Amino acid sequence: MPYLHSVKTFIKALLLLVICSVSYANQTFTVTDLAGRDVTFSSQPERIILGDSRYLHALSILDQEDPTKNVAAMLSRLDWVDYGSYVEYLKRFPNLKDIPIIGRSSADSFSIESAIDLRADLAIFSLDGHGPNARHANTIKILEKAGIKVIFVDFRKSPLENTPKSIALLGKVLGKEAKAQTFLNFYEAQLSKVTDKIKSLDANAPAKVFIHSRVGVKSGCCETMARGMMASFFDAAGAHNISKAVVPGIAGFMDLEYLLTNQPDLYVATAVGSKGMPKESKDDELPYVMLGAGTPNDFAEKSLYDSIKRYKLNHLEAVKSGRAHALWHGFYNSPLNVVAVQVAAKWLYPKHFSDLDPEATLEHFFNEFQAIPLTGVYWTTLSSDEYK
Amino acid sequence: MKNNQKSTLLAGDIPLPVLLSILACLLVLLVGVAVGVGAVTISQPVVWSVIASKLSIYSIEPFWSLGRENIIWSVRFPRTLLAAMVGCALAVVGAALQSVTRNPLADPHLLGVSSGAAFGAVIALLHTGMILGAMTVPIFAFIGALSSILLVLAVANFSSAYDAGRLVLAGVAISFVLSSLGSLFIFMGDHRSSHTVIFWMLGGFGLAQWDQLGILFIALIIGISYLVYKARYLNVMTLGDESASTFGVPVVRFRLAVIIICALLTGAAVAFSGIIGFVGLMVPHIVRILVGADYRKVLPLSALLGAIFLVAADIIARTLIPPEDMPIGIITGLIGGAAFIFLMRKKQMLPQ
Repeated sequence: MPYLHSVKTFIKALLLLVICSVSYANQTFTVTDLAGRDVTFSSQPERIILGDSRYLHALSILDQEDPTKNVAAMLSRLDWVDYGSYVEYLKRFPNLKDIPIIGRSSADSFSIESAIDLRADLAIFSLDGHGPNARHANTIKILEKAGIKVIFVDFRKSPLENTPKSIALLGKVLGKEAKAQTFLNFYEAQLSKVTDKIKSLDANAPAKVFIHSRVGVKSGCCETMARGMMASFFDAAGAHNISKAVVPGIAGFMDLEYLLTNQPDLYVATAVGSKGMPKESKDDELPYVMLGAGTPNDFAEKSLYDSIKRYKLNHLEAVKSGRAHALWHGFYNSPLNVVAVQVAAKWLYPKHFSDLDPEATLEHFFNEFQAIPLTGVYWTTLSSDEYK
Repeated sequence: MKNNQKSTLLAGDIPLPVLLSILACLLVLLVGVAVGVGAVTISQPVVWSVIASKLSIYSIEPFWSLGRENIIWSVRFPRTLLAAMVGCALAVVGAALQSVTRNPLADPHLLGVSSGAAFGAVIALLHTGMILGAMTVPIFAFIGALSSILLVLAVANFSSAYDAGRLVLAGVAISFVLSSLGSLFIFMGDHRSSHTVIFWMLGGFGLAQWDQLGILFIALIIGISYLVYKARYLNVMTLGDESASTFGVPVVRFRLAVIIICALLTGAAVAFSGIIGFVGLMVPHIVRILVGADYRKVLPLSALLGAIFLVAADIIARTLIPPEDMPIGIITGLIGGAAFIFLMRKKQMLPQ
């Protein structure tokens, strides 16, 4: 009889062990990040470090209620890199101003010891760009030794290819897979509106584009993007980026003389400013092109005009013929990038894409996938007669 | 000799072993402070208890958090040791080069080593990617440093160069060439990533790793042992090549040996910390002002003072604008320059 009791006890213990193992196995999951690293989680992360404050847009997709609630710290102050969005987030989530900033945009400024002391359990870094990236093996090693999991996402290097992968990865890691899938369906549908139609275009005569990047940040003419980032959107929309022939890397500089002798059909400035930002104007001349949250169209258009004048780009045929545009710089490192592709397609081939409605896409994006409302314009065209 | 002693601040007052002991204690004290301060302040009992338990000096029940332990052992302690070792290496190299080139302004970067290292780092940071993992930048920087010294020796046609001046000029020329090539490769790379290169060039110890320290430590032991062993030769070399030959020093061979040792030491230091100026120039001069020009004293004291100086500079770099680290090169330049001017005003720099 005591023998039977022992057997029963043993079976109970065994069952308990199996149940515990199964529940642990259910909790434990492994993901492959955008750097091809396998990362295993034993539980859902609760204290997150953002390698770029602008990743709040990505977190918003997964949690519209409060994307800031699990953010333990971040790099690069949002009010420096995206002032308009910062103002909007701050209105809804006043705790944003209390989130510690543990570094600027460069990887070298990242404070590893602050990250450890904040008891973070996840760091979301960019494959390439602001903050530590996949090349900073030492940083990753130290963080992981301290129990902070590191995953790499990418909205910048190969944005159209990696945005869906990045959102799917974040959805899996943060336990928001259903929401991530809803977004991915929307994203793919909106992207295919351009990519499917591009195939029927005459590939022999693509429209030539010049992307004038971060207008106003550098005094000389003209910083540009040749590959990846913003350039990807115009590639997807069937453009011929004239910078590719000159700039060897991802980004670089184009000479004004080269621009004047190799005229683009389309001039696109990227806007790093927003209305209301500190040092907004000097002698009534706007230092940057202004777009994004809280920026009205007339203000955006004036800023584009001022910049074109300052850089002596008014001699470009694209400017004279009303094909000078500006695009919110934040698109280059954001899951909103599909909107930029639609805008690019519309600018490049207006007849071909007459039925495309990027405004509606942007509106839907903010209504369904963002924690802040849509305020302001995210692109503009130098259309008013007084500016031509 | 008496005359020389009178013209120093400490010579004759404090015996060398006592002076070395005082500086060693000061260094240990500073290491404790360095590990305790930063973005997060950690008390000294915790600092030394963690270090003691990790080194198995004595067993202790942890009264600290795992986070603090990680900050101390994985981040700050290796960083502080790296600062001490780099300071030690650069100061000793500066002292040795000032002797063999008979140039009071000689420093570890004189012979193009830092330009070569920077060129290697630019290639790694902007063009190759991390093909060798975490060691990519140090390896490329070290190869760049060694390549530059080989170029300098080739240009100076060292085997027949009896005067040090030719060597220095070759170093300056190669430095300019490699700096320009480095700039060209920065221009050809993604200019948005160039801040990483600039940060590296300004120097820092932020990513020190235990497995890297061993390499530098071995280089340091070999290099300093050789130089201390040949301290008598270094003393004689300051008198000029002819006098040194008269005293039985194989001038050309010895100068070549010292330069190669110095290049290896500087290359190893620069590879892990980036380019840190002023330590190798300033520390040996301060030591000479304190104890005279005898290299049997100058070398060990330079080693300790260099370590103390860089650990102190690193403390400032980490506490000035927390939670960020200011590049160490900025601190060494500011403090070093100011201290140097102050000492020069207080006391005329000793002739070699």
